[in-house]
Amino acid sequence: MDGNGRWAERRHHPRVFGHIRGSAKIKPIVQEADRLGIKALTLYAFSTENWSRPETERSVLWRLLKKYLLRERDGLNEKNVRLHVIGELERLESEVRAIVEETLEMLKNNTGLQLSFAISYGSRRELVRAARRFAEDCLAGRQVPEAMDEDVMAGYLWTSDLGSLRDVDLVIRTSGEKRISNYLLWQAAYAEFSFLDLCWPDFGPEHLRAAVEEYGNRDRRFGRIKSEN
Amino acid sequence: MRTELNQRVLTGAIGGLALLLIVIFGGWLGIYFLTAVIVLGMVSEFAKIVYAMPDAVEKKYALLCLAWFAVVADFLTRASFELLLVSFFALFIYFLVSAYKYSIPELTTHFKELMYSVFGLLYLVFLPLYLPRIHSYMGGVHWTILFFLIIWAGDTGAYFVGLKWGRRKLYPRISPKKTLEGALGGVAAGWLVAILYKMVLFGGASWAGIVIIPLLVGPFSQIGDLAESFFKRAYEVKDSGRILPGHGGFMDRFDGVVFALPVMYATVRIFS
Repeated sequence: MDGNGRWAERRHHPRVFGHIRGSAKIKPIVQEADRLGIKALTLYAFSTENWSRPETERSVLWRLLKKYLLRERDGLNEKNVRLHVIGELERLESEVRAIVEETLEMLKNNTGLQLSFAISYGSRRELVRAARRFAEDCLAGRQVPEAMDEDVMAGYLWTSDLGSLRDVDLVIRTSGEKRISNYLLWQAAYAEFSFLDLCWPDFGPEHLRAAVEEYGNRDRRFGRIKSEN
Repeated sequence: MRTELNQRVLTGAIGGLALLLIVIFGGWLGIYFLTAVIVLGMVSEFAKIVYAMPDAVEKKYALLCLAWFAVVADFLTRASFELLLVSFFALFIYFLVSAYKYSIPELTTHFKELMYSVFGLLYLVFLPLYLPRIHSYMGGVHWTILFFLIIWAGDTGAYFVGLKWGRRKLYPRISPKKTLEGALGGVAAGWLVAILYKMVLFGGASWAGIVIIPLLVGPFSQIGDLAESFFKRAYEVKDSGRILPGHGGFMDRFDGVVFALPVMYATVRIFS
Protein backbone atom coordinates (compact mmCIF):
# COMPACT_ATOMS: atom_id res chain seq x y z
CA MET A 1 0.00 0.00 0.00
CA ASP A 2 2.50 2.48 -1.29
CA GLY A 3 2.25 6.22 -1.86
CA ASN A 4 0.00 7.39 0.97
CA GLY A 5 2.51 9.93 2.19
CA ARG A 6 3.28 11.18 -1.30
CA TRP A 7 -0.40 11.42 -2.10
CA ALA A 8 -0.91 13.68 0.90
CA GLU A 9 2.21 15.76 0.35
CA ARG A 10 1.20 16.45 -3.22
CA ARG A 11 -1.96 17.98 -1.76
CA HIS A 12 -0.12 19.90 0.94
CA HIS A 13 -1.68 17.77 3.64
CA PRO A 14 0.44 16.14 6.35
CA ARG A 15 1.67 12.65 5.44
CA VAL A 16 -0.49 10.98 8.05
CA PHE A 17 -3.53 12.34 6.28
CA GLY A 18 -2.63 10.09 3.37
CA HIS A 19 -2.42 7.09 5.66
CA ILE A 20 -5.91 7.80 6.96
CA ARG A 21 -7.25 7.98 3.42
CA GLY A 22 -5.26 4.93 2.39
CA SER A 23 -6.55 2.85 5.26
CA ALA A 24 -10.10 3.59 4.16
CA LYS A 25 -9.24 1.89 0.85
CA ILE A 26 -8.48 -1.48 2.42
CA LYS A 27 -12.10 -2.42 2.91
CA PRO A 28 -13.29 -1.89 -0.69
CA ILE A 29 -10.17 -3.59 -2.07
CA VAL A 30 -10.63 -6.64 0.15
CA GLN A 31 -14.28 -6.80 -0.85
CA GLU A 32 -13.43 -6.59 -4.52
CA ALA A 33 -10.74 -9.25 -4.20
CA ASP A 34 -13.27 -11.54 -2.56
CA ARG A 35 -15.82 -10.78 -5.27
CA LEU A 36 -13.28 -11.51 -8.02
CA GLY A 37 -12.67 -14.92 -6.48
CA ILE A 38 -9.08 -14.20 -5.48
CA LYS A 39 -8.02 -16.81 -2.95
CA ALA A 40 -5.20 -15.00 -1.20
CA LEU A 41 -4.47 -11.31 -0.85
CA THR A 42 -1.43 -9.91 0.94
CA LEU A 43 -1.20 -6.23 1.74
CA TYR A 44 2.16 -4.70 2.50
CA ALA A 45 1.33 -2.46 5.41
CA PHE A 46 4.65 -1.84 7.11
CA SER A 47 8.17 -2.89 6.22
CA THR A 48 11.12 -3.59 8.49
CA GLU A 49 12.60 -0.36 7.07
CA ASN A 50 9.53 1.65 8.01
CA TRP A 51 10.60 1.60 11.66
CA SER A 52 12.77 4.58 10.77
CA ARG A 53 9.67 6.70 10.09
CA PRO A 54 8.97 9.39 12.70
CA GLU A 55 7.26 8.25 15.85
CA THR A 56 4.04 10.22 15.11
CA GLU A 57 3.66 8.68 11.69
CA ARG A 58 4.14 5.20 13.12
CA SER A 59 1.68 5.76 15.92
CA VAL A 60 -0.95 6.83 13.39
CA LEU A 61 -0.33 3.65 11.41
CA TRP A 62 -0.80 1.49 14.48
CA ARG A 63 -3.92 3.37 15.42
CA LEU A 64 -5.31 2.81 11.93
CA LEU A 65 -4.46 -0.87 12.03
CA LYS A 66 -6.22 -1.26 15.37
CA LYS A 67 -9.23 0.64 14.13
CA TYR A 68 -9.42 -1.39 10.94
CA LEU A 69 -9.30 -4.70 12.78
CA LEU A 70 -11.79 -3.70 15.47
CA ARG A 71 -14.19 -2.25 12.98
CA GLU A 72 -13.98 -4.86 10.26
CA ARG A 73 -13.39 -8.19 11.94
CA ASP A 74 -17.04 -9.08 12.33
CA GLY A 75 -17.64 -8.27 8.68
CA LEU A 76 -14.59 -10.30 7.65
CA ASN A 77 -15.82 -13.18 9.74
CA GLU A 78 -19.21 -13.07 8.04
CA LYS A 79 -17.46 -13.16 4.67
CA ASN A 80 -15.48 -16.22 5.83
CA VAL A 81 -12.18 -14.34 5.47
CA ARG A 82 -9.18 -15.71 7.29
CA LEU A 83 -6.51 -13.35 8.51
CA HIS A 84 -2.75 -13.93 8.56
CA VAL A 85 0.01 -11.64 9.65
CA ILE A 86 3.47 -12.02 8.19
CA GLY A 87 6.35 -10.16 9.78
CA GLU A 88 7.83 -9.48 13.16
CA LEU A 89 4.62 -9.37 15.12
CA GLU A 90 6.64 -9.44 18.33
CA ARG A 91 8.00 -5.97 17.63
CA LEU A 92 4.56 -4.35 17.87
CA GLU A 93 3.58 -2.69 21.09
CA SER A 94 1.55 -4.98 23.29
CA GLU A 95 -1.80 -3.25 22.86
CA VAL A 96 -1.76 -3.45 19.07
CA ARG A 97 -0.39 -6.96 19.19
CA ALA A 98 -3.14 -8.10 21.50
CA ILE A 99 -5.79 -6.87 19.07
CA VAL A 100 -4.02 -8.48 16.13
CA GLU A 101 -3.78 -11.79 17.97
CA GLU A 102 -7.39 -11.64 19.07
CA THR A 103 -8.46 -11.06 15.48
CA LEU A 104 -6.27 -13.88 14.17
CA GLU A 105 -7.82 -16.19 16.73
CA MET A 106 -11.32 -15.07 15.88
CA LEU A 107 -10.95 -15.68 12.13
CA LYS A 108 -8.71 -18.75 12.27
CA ASN A 109 -11.32 -21.30 11.20
CA ASN A 110 -12.46 -19.41 8.13
CA THR A 111 -11.85 -20.94 4.73
CA GLY A 112 -12.61 -18.12 2.28
CA LEU A 113 -10.25 -15.38 1.18
CA GLN A 114 -6.87 -15.65 2.89
CA LEU A 115 -6.08 -12.04 3.80
CA SER A 116 -2.55 -11.35 5.00
CA PHE A 117 -1.09 -8.16 6.35
CA ALA A 118 2.65 -7.77 6.03
CA ILE A 119 3.55 -5.90 9.20
CA SER A 120 7.16 -5.16 10.03
CA TYR A 121 7.91 -7.46 7.13
CA GLY A 122 11.08 -7.75 5.12
CA SER A 123 11.90 -10.64 2.83
CA ARG A 124 15.57 -10.81 3.74
CA ARG A 125 14.73 -10.87 7.40
CA GLU A 126 12.25 -13.65 6.70
CA LEU A 127 14.88 -15.72 4.89
CA VAL A 128 17.51 -15.10 7.54
CA ARG A 129 15.04 -16.09 10.22
CA ALA A 130 14.12 -19.24 8.29
CA ALA A 131 17.78 -20.21 7.95
CA ARG A 132 18.37 -19.63 11.64
CA ARG A 133 15.35 -21.68 12.65
CA PHE A 134 16.34 -24.51 10.35
CA ALA A 135 19.83 -24.51 11.81
CA GLU A 136 18.39 -24.56 15.32
CA ASP A 137 16.19 -27.51 14.38
CA CYS A 138 19.25 -29.30 13.00
CA LEU A 139 21.16 -28.74 16.20
CA ALA A 140 18.21 -29.96 18.23
CA GLY A 141 18.06 -33.08 16.12
CA ARG A 142 14.65 -32.35 14.63
CA GLN A 143 16.07 -31.80 11.14
CA VAL A 144 19.04 -32.90 9.07
CA PRO A 145 20.75 -30.59 6.53
CA GLU A 146 20.05 -33.03 3.67
CA ALA A 147 16.32 -32.62 4.21
CA MET A 148 16.41 -29.00 3.07
CA ASP A 149 14.60 -28.47 -0.21
CA GLU A 150 12.20 -25.90 -1.58
CA ASP A 151 9.19 -27.26 0.28
CA VAL A 152 10.97 -27.45 3.59
CA MET A 153 12.27 -23.93 3.08
CA ALA A 154 8.78 -22.65 2.33
CA GLY A 155 7.63 -24.23 5.57
CA TYR A 156 10.02 -22.06 7.54
CA LEU A 157 8.76 -18.81 6.05
CA TRP A 158 6.10 -16.58 7.60
CA THR A 159 3.79 -17.50 4.75
CA SER A 160 3.92 -21.21 5.64
CA ASP A 161 0.32 -21.50 6.83
CA LEU A 162 -0.97 -20.27 3.48
CA GLY A 163 -0.19 -23.76 2.15
CA SER A 164 -0.39 -24.03 -1.61
CA LEU A 165 -1.46 -20.39 -1.84
CA ARG A 166 1.88 -19.07 -0.66
CA ASP A 167 3.27 -18.71 -4.17
CA VAL A 168 2.33 -15.30 -5.44
CA ASP A 169 0.71 -14.95 -8.85
CA LEU A 170 0.50 -11.19 -9.18
CA VAL A 171 2.23 -8.34 -7.42
CA ILE A 172 0.67 -4.92 -7.80
CA ARG A 173 2.82 -2.03 -6.74
CA THR A 174 1.24 1.40 -6.54
CA SER A 175 2.86 4.85 -6.49
CA GLY A 176 4.98 4.46 -9.63
CA GLU A 177 7.99 2.83 -7.99
CA LYS A 178 9.39 -0.04 -10.01
CA ARG A 179 11.17 -2.03 -7.33
CA ILE A 180 10.37 -5.13 -5.30
CA SER A 181 11.63 -3.48 -2.12
CA ASN A 182 12.28 -6.62 -0.14
CA TYR A 183 8.77 -7.98 -0.58
CA LEU A 184 8.01 -11.71 -0.81
CA LEU A 185 11.24 -12.41 -2.73
CA TRP A 186 10.95 -16.17 -2.37
CA GLN A 187 7.22 -16.36 -2.83
CA ALA A 188 7.11 -14.05 -5.86
CA ALA A 189 9.72 -16.01 -7.83
CA TYR A 190 7.32 -16.53 -10.74
CA ALA A 191 4.92 -13.69 -10.06
CA GLU A 192 3.74 -11.28 -12.67
CA PHE A 193 4.23 -7.62 -11.85
CA SER A 194 1.97 -4.72 -12.36
CA PHE A 195 3.35 -1.27 -11.65
CA LEU A 196 0.79 1.49 -11.38
CA ASP A 197 1.43 5.20 -11.28
CA LEU A 198 -1.45 5.68 -8.87
CA CYS A 199 -0.84 6.25 -5.20
CA TRP A 200 -2.61 3.84 -2.87
CA PRO A 201 -5.39 6.27 -1.81
CA ASP A 202 -6.36 6.58 -5.48
CA PHE A 203 -6.24 2.83 -6.07
CA GLY A 204 -9.82 1.61 -6.32
CA PRO A 205 -11.62 -1.68 -6.92
CA GLU A 206 -11.74 -0.88 -10.64
CA HIS A 207 -7.93 -0.80 -10.78
CA LEU A 208 -7.68 -4.13 -9.01
CA ARG A 209 -10.15 -5.58 -11.49
CA ALA A 210 -8.19 -4.19 -14.43
CA ALA A 211 -4.90 -5.56 -13.09
CA VAL A 212 -6.40 -9.02 -12.58
CA GLU A 213 -7.88 -8.98 -16.06
CA GLU A 214 -4.56 -7.98 -17.56
CA TYR A 215 -2.88 -10.74 -15.58
CA GLY A 216 -5.35 -13.23 -17.03
CA ASN A 217 -4.17 -12.29 -20.51
CA ARG A 218 -0.49 -12.82 -19.82
CA ASP A 219 1.22 -16.00 -20.84
CA ARG A 220 2.76 -17.62 -17.80
CA ARG A 221 5.38 -20.19 -18.71
CA PHE A 222 7.27 -20.81 -15.45
CA GLY A 223 10.50 -21.08 -17.42
CA ARG A 224 9.09 -23.50 -19.96
CA ILE A 225 8.34 -22.88 -23.63
CA LYS A 226 5.01 -21.38 -24.64
CA SER A 227 2.29 -23.98 -24.36
CA GLU A 228 0.44 -24.93 -27.55
CA ASN A 229 -3.32 -24.85 -27.28
CA MET B 1 -30.84 5.54 -8.17
CA ARG B 2 -34.58 5.30 -7.74
CA THR B 3 -34.37 3.67 -4.30
CA GLU B 4 -31.81 6.20 -3.22
CA LEU B 5 -34.20 8.99 -4.12
CA ASN B 6 -37.00 7.21 -2.25
CA GLN B 7 -34.80 6.79 0.77
CA ARG B 8 -33.87 10.43 0.57
CA VAL B 9 -37.52 11.50 0.41
CA LEU B 10 -38.46 9.24 3.31
CA THR B 11 -35.63 10.41 5.56
CA GLY B 12 -36.37 13.98 4.56
CA ALA B 13 -40.07 13.66 5.40
CA ILE B 14 -39.51 12.06 8.80
CA GLY B 15 -36.60 14.32 9.73
CA GLY B 16 -38.35 17.45 8.48
CA LEU B 17 -41.53 16.62 10.40
CA ALA B 18 -39.59 15.95 13.61
CA LEU B 19 -37.72 19.20 13.16
CA LEU B 20 -40.92 21.19 12.62
CA LEU B 21 -42.56 19.59 15.66
CA ILE B 22 -39.62 20.66 17.80
CA VAL B 23 -39.74 24.17 16.36
CA ILE B 24 -43.50 24.47 16.99
CA PHE B 25 -43.92 22.74 20.34
CA GLY B 26 -40.44 22.53 21.77
CA GLY B 27 -40.19 26.11 22.92
CA TRP B 28 -36.94 27.63 23.96
CA LEU B 29 -35.46 24.42 25.28
CA GLY B 30 -36.49 22.50 22.18
CA ILE B 31 -34.84 24.91 19.77
CA TYR B 32 -31.59 24.79 21.73
CA PHE B 33 -31.80 21.01 21.77
CA LEU B 34 -32.23 21.03 18.00
CA THR B 35 -29.31 23.43 17.62
CA ALA B 36 -27.13 21.23 19.81
CA VAL B 37 -27.94 18.13 17.76
CA ILE B 38 -27.13 19.85 14.48
CA VAL B 39 -23.97 21.49 15.84
CA LEU B 40 -22.57 18.36 17.44
CA GLY B 41 -23.36 16.29 14.36
CA MET B 42 -21.59 18.72 12.07
CA VAL B 43 -18.61 19.26 14.36
CA SER B 44 -17.90 15.56 14.70
CA GLU B 45 -17.96 15.10 10.92
CA PHE B 46 -15.75 18.13 10.44
CA ALA B 47 -13.27 16.84 13.02
CA LYS B 48 -13.15 13.46 11.35
CA ILE B 49 -12.27 15.05 8.02
CA VAL B 50 -9.67 17.62 9.06
CA TYR B 51 -7.67 16.11 11.92
CA ALA B 52 -4.86 13.77 10.94
CA MET B 53 -2.38 13.82 13.81
CA PRO B 54 -2.14 10.86 16.21
CA ASP B 55 -4.32 12.67 18.74
CA ALA B 56 -7.12 13.22 16.21
CA VAL B 57 -9.63 11.52 18.46
CA GLU B 58 -8.74 13.68 21.46
CA LYS B 59 -8.97 16.79 19.31
CA LYS B 60 -12.36 15.72 18.08
CA TYR B 61 -13.66 15.34 21.61
CA ALA B 62 -12.09 18.63 22.67
CA LEU B 63 -13.90 20.39 19.85
CA LEU B 64 -17.15 18.59 20.65
CA CYS B 65 -16.85 19.62 24.31
CA LEU B 66 -16.34 23.22 23.30
CA ALA B 67 -19.27 23.07 20.90
CA TRP B 68 -21.44 21.65 23.67
CA PHE B 69 -20.20 24.30 26.09
CA ALA B 70 -20.90 27.07 23.57
CA VAL B 71 -24.47 25.95 22.91
CA VAL B 72 -25.33 25.45 26.59
CA ALA B 73 -23.64 28.67 27.64
CA ASP B 74 -25.40 30.53 24.87
CA PHE B 75 -28.68 29.12 26.16
CA LEU B 76 -27.87 30.47 29.61
CA THR B 77 -26.21 33.78 28.78
CA ARG B 78 -26.82 34.74 25.14
CA ALA B 79 -23.40 36.35 25.11
CA SER B 80 -22.17 34.71 21.94
CA PHE B 81 -19.28 37.04 21.22
CA GLU B 82 -17.76 36.51 24.64
CA LEU B 83 -18.39 32.78 24.31
CA LEU B 84 -16.55 32.75 21.02
CA LEU B 85 -13.58 34.40 22.68
CA VAL B 86 -13.68 31.99 25.61
CA SER B 87 -13.83 29.03 23.20
CA PHE B 88 -10.95 30.40 21.17
CA PHE B 89 -8.96 30.91 24.35
CA ALA B 90 -9.72 27.39 25.57
CA LEU B 91 -8.76 25.85 22.22
CA PHE B 92 -5.50 27.76 22.14
CA ILE B 93 -4.59 26.56 25.61
CA TYR B 94 -5.63 23.00 24.85
CA PHE B 95 -3.42 22.91 21.75
CA LEU B 96 -0.58 24.53 23.64
CA VAL B 97 -0.77 21.93 26.39
CA SER B 98 -1.02 19.02 23.98
CA ALA B 99 1.94 20.30 21.91
CA TYR B 100 4.53 18.68 24.20
CA LYS B 101 4.29 15.33 22.42
CA TYR B 102 5.29 16.68 19.02
CA SER B 103 8.68 17.37 17.52
CA ILE B 104 9.45 20.74 15.96
CA PRO B 105 8.46 19.88 12.34
CA GLU B 106 5.27 18.21 13.55
CA LEU B 107 4.28 21.33 15.44
CA THR B 108 3.42 23.02 12.14
CA THR B 109 0.64 20.53 11.52
CA HIS B 110 -0.44 20.68 15.14
CA PHE B 111 -0.72 24.45 14.93
CA LYS B 112 -2.59 24.24 11.64
CA GLU B 113 -5.07 21.94 13.30
CA LEU B 114 -5.60 24.63 15.94
CA MET B 115 -6.49 27.00 13.12
CA TYR B 116 -8.86 24.48 11.54
CA SER B 117 -10.52 24.16 14.92
CA VAL B 118 -11.13 27.89 15.17
CA PHE B 119 -12.55 27.82 11.67
CA GLY B 120 -14.80 24.92 12.66
CA LEU B 121 -16.02 26.82 15.71
CA LEU B 122 -16.98 29.86 13.67
CA TYR B 123 -18.52 27.92 10.84
CA LEU B 124 -20.28 25.08 12.60
CA VAL B 125 -20.98 26.35 16.13
CA PHE B 126 -21.38 30.11 16.11
CA LEU B 127 -23.24 30.53 12.83
CA PRO B 128 -25.88 27.94 13.82
CA LEU B 129 -26.45 29.80 17.11
CA TYR B 130 -28.60 32.21 15.09
CA LEU B 131 -31.28 29.54 15.00
CA PRO B 132 -32.48 30.13 18.58
CA ARG B 133 -32.15 33.86 18.01
CA ILE B 134 -34.60 33.78 15.13
CA HIS B 135 -36.87 31.50 17.14
CA SER B 136 -37.03 33.86 20.13
CA TYR B 137 -37.72 36.95 18.03
CA MET B 138 -41.26 38.29 17.69
CA GLY B 139 -43.27 35.75 15.73
CA GLY B 140 -40.16 33.63 15.86
CA VAL B 141 -41.86 30.24 15.58
CA HIS B 142 -43.43 31.32 12.33
CA TRP B 143 -40.20 32.81 11.03
CA THR B 144 -38.30 29.66 11.93
CA ILE B 145 -40.80 27.43 10.15
CA LEU B 146 -40.77 29.76 7.17
CA PHE B 147 -36.98 29.70 7.19
CA PHE B 148 -36.84 25.92 6.87
CA LEU B 149 -39.62 25.92 4.29
CA ILE B 150 -37.68 28.42 2.17
CA ILE B 151 -34.55 26.28 2.39
CA TRP B 152 -36.31 23.01 1.63
CA ALA B 153 -38.39 24.47 -1.17
CA GLY B 154 -35.20 26.01 -2.50
CA ASP B 155 -33.36 22.66 -2.52
CA THR B 156 -36.24 20.81 -4.09
CA GLY B 157 -36.96 23.56 -6.61
CA ALA B 158 -33.31 23.78 -7.57
CA TYR B 159 -33.15 20.01 -8.02
CA PHE B 160 -36.15 19.71 -10.30
CA VAL B 161 -35.68 22.95 -12.24
CA GLY B 162 -32.03 22.04 -12.73
CA LEU B 163 -32.97 18.55 -13.88
CA LYS B 164 -35.44 19.89 -16.43
CA TRP B 165 -33.94 23.14 -17.65
CA GLY B 166 -30.40 23.15 -16.29
CA ARG B 167 -27.87 24.13 -18.96
CA ARG B 168 -25.35 26.63 -17.71
CA LYS B 169 -23.06 25.38 -15.00
CA LEU B 170 -23.05 27.46 -11.83
CA TYR B 171 -19.55 26.69 -10.53
CA PRO B 172 -18.22 23.44 -12.02
CA ARG B 173 -14.85 23.62 -10.27
CA ILE B 174 -16.60 23.34 -6.91
CA SER B 175 -19.80 21.51 -7.71
CA PRO B 176 -20.01 19.97 -11.17
CA LYS B 177 -23.74 19.29 -11.24
CA LYS B 178 -25.28 22.55 -10.04
CA THR B 179 -26.68 24.81 -12.73
CA LEU B 180 -27.56 28.48 -12.87
CA GLU B 181 -31.11 27.59 -13.93
CA GLY B 182 -31.44 25.33 -10.90
CA ALA B 183 -30.20 28.07 -8.60
CA LEU B 184 -32.76 30.54 -9.97
CA GLY B 185 -35.47 27.89 -9.74
CA GLY B 186 -34.56 27.33 -6.10
CA VAL B 187 -34.86 31.00 -5.25
CA ALA B 188 -38.18 31.21 -7.09
CA ALA B 189 -39.52 28.15 -5.24
CA GLY B 190 -38.53 29.64 -1.88
CA TRP B 191 -40.18 32.89 -2.81
CA LEU B 192 -43.47 31.22 -3.79
CA VAL B 193 -43.51 29.18 -0.60
CA ALA B 194 -43.01 32.31 1.49
CA ILE B 195 -45.96 34.07 -0.17
CA LEU B 196 -48.15 31.00 0.20
CA TYR B 197 -47.15 30.67 3.85
CA LYS B 198 -48.18 34.28 4.56
CA MET B 199 -51.52 33.83 2.83
CA VAL B 200 -52.40 30.57 4.57
CA LEU B 201 -50.86 30.67 8.05
CA PHE B 202 -48.97 33.83 8.80
CA GLY B 203 -51.23 36.77 7.98
CA GLY B 204 -49.38 38.96 10.47
CA ALA B 205 -46.16 39.04 8.47
CA SER B 206 -45.38 42.24 6.60
CA TRP B 207 -45.44 42.03 2.82
CA ALA B 208 -42.04 43.71 2.65
CA GLY B 209 -40.55 40.94 4.76
CA ILE B 210 -42.28 38.12 2.92
CA VAL B 211 -41.20 39.44 -0.47
CA ILE B 212 -37.61 40.40 0.37
CA ILE B 213 -36.53 37.73 2.88
CA PRO B 214 -36.62 34.71 0.56
CA LEU B 215 -34.75 36.66 -2.10
CA LEU B 216 -31.83 37.01 0.31
CA VAL B 217 -32.11 33.77 2.30
CA GLY B 218 -32.43 31.59 -0.81
CA PRO B 219 -29.19 32.70 -2.48
CA PHE B 220 -27.27 32.54 0.80
CA SER B 221 -28.46 29.01 1.37
CA GLN B 222 -27.04 28.14 -2.05
CA ILE B 223 -23.79 29.92 -1.26
CA GLY B 224 -23.70 27.77 1.86
CA ASP B 225 -24.10 24.63 -0.26
CA LEU B 226 -21.20 25.74 -2.41
CA ALA B 227 -19.12 26.63 0.64
CA GLU B 228 -19.51 23.12 1.99
CA SER B 229 -18.76 21.62 -1.44
CA PHE B 230 -15.63 23.78 -1.47
CA PHE B 231 -14.59 22.27 1.86
CA LYS B 232 -15.35 18.72 0.73
CA ARG B 233 -13.60 19.23 -2.58
CA ALA B 234 -10.50 20.52 -0.81
CA TYR B 235 -10.41 17.35 1.31
CA GLU B 236 -11.59 15.07 -1.51
CA VAL B 237 -14.53 13.56 0.35
CA LYS B 238 -17.85 12.78 -1.28
CA ASP B 239 -20.24 12.87 1.67
CA SER B 240 -19.39 14.43 5.00
CA GLY B 241 -20.90 11.45 6.82
CA ARG B 242 -23.42 8.66 6.55
CA ILE B 243 -25.84 9.40 9.35
CA LEU B 244 -28.86 10.46 7.29
CA PRO B 245 -29.86 7.79 4.73
CA GLY B 246 -29.87 9.30 1.25
CA HIS B 247 -28.70 12.71 2.42
CA GLY B 248 -25.11 12.04 3.48
CA GLY B 249 -24.08 13.61 6.75
CA PHE B 250 -25.15 16.52 8.90
CA MET B 251 -22.89 18.92 7.07
CA ASP B 252 -24.36 17.89 3.72
CA ARG B 253 -27.84 18.54 4.99
CA PHE B 254 -27.35 21.72 7.00
CA ASP B 255 -24.66 23.44 4.93
CA GLY B 256 -27.13 25.86 3.36
CA VAL B 257 -28.98 26.32 6.65
CA VAL B 258 -25.81 27.41 8.40
CA PHE B 259 -25.04 30.15 5.89
CA ALA B 260 -28.61 31.36 5.57
CA LEU B 261 -29.32 31.62 9.32
CA PRO B 262 -27.52 34.90 10.04
CA VAL B 263 -29.02 36.41 6.88
CA MET B 264 -32.47 35.29 7.98
CA TYR B 265 -31.97 36.79 11.41
CA ALA B 266 -30.80 40.12 10.01
CA THR B 267 -33.58 40.37 7.44
CA VAL B 268 -36.26 39.37 9.95
CA ARG B 269 -35.07 42.11 12.27
CA ILE B 270 -35.06 44.68 9.50
CA PHE B 271 -38.22 43.82 7.60
CA SER B 272 -40.67 42.19 9.97
